[in-house]
Amino acid sequence: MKPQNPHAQEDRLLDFAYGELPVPEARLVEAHLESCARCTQALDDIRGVRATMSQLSVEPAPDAGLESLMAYAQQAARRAAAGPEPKPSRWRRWLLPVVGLASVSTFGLLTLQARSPELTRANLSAAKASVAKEELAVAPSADGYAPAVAAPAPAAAPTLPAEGETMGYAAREGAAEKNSKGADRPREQKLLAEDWANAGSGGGLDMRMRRESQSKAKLGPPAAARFPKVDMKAALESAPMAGEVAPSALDEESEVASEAVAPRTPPADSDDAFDGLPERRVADSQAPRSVPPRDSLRLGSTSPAARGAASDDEMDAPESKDSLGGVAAQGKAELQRPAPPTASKKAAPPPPPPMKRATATEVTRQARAAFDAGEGARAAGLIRSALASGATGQERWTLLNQLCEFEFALGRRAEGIEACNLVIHEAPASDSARSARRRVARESSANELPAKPAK
Amino acid sequence: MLGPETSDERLMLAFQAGDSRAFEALVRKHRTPVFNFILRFTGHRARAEDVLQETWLKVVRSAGDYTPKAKFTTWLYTIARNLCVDSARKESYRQASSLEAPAPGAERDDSRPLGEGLPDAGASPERGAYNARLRPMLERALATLPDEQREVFTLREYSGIPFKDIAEVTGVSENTVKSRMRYALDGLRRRLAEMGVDGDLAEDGRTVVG
Repeated sequence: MKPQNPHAQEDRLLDFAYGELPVPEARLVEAHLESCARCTQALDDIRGVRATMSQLSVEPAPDAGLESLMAYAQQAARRAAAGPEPKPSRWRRWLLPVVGLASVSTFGLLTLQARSPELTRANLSAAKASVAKEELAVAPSADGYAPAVAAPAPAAAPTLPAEGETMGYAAREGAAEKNSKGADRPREQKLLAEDWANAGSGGGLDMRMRRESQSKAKLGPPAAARFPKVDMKAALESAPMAGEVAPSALDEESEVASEAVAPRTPPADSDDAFDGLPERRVADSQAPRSVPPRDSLRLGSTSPAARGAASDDEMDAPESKDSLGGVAAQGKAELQRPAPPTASKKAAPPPPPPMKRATATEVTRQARAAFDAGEGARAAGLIRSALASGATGQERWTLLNQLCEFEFALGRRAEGIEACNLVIHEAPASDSARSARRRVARESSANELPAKPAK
Repeated sequence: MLGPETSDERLMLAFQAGDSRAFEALVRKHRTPVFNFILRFTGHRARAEDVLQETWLKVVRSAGDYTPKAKFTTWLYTIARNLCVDSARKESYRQASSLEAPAPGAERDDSRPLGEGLPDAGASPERGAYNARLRPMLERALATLPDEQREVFTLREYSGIPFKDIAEVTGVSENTVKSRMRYALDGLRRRLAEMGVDGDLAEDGRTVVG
């Protein structure tokens, strides 16, 4: 009971008045009050004020804002109940923009390519020193982009599915799934599938973005390794929605990536004439062999898919993608598997190995001979091979025109139109184009099938 | 799980874990005392309502920061009190900038300073008449107290916060709190006497607290 400050007694009275003293101490205070008038008076004062001020009735709290408060609290509670999941949400946060940007950039890039084949052709001669496979991969139009993009995309290669163009979307997806490694891949897939609908089909900056992000080294190694994977998959996923754009986007990426990773084997080193093809290398190193490599015609030409992407391209033929894919697979099969010449359709004798640099006239002569000998399919295959080996300019157009003729003769109209359209589109003023145009007109009037089907 | 006896602290932990009913229980239990504290402290109904809402919103937002080491009421009233102080600061800026000349009709009836004659809808007619006369005086008496005394008195008298917790809420020592309390009681007693509201009236009020 020793006062510790000058007002200890008064403080004790306060505690007593407000009922904050434990019972034993309260008893002591009561005992003290009986003998201390001053303290009794002080306590009376306190009680008097309290009694008066307690008349100030309690105000009910307003209901305004109560509902919104509860809704807010419920929302917060749900978040709390969901538990802290920072990882997936962050993952999601950047996944969506990446997918969007990837598709926009792919579209933009391909549009650029499709519209200005001349723009990049000049680079071809400069890059001629580099092996033919490179030209094959993206020549002539995409060639200018290949080196620039190849550098930042090394990590993409291991996951590249090397499916051929004949594979349907589902098959591609399956292959991607098969190739996917690590536990999180299925989830990525799912996320992508979910997000894709929101991502939109446009989104052009994936290359740029990838370059940026890698140069800034914002992402750690594991993240950086996964990043391109996502791009790849984004391209894969975008296939059905972006129409013809996506397959070629995939091609671009895979080629580019494989360039970056796969050791550069000069074509001379390989016994297979087509070993130099980048996609073939991918197939050798990573992909299941059963998957047919990609079309050579497409590679040698302005990508039909890219042309499809250019919506203002009047030469676009809707069936081009399918037909081309079909042709490509066929042609490739013919070339890969030396089968006895059964004179009929698909099985054709192997092409002469050193065909890569054969001149257009030489090839044309050989093809003509084959054609005259009744081996139309082989003739077409020869020309495709020549195209694939990087023929450009007049050579290319002559070959395409020839191919067009052969395809029509073989009754493969879609392929024929495709080849003709390529010539017409690439070199509208050339003799080959005129010839091709005439042929297309002739064929379409004969078959009542328009050369330029409505989109 | 959440019974009526569940402590505030456990309710708060339940809310942290995602149970919104726990939060509802806390609001139900505390919003009126908190509102009365805010109302007495700010002295303006409209501002008090805003501060009340802000207080609970902040409770939701800061729920993750709450640890059961702190008493819930202490935590809650600290939030409310800080918001009151902010609001008062803003209000004083506003008044200073308007040169203490309130625009006519700018303030709602509700937002008049308490103690300027709010009519009361009391329980019984006599009680109502009595209150109608008394209440404004009480409010005015309270309003004349310095802020630091008024907040201590209000927390103790109307919100039932023990002195020790008031010290935590206001960030001063318990002795200081009690000292302010004594000053507040003295000041009120004098002010009430000046108004003619004296001990007689207190006896009339027959609500002597022991």
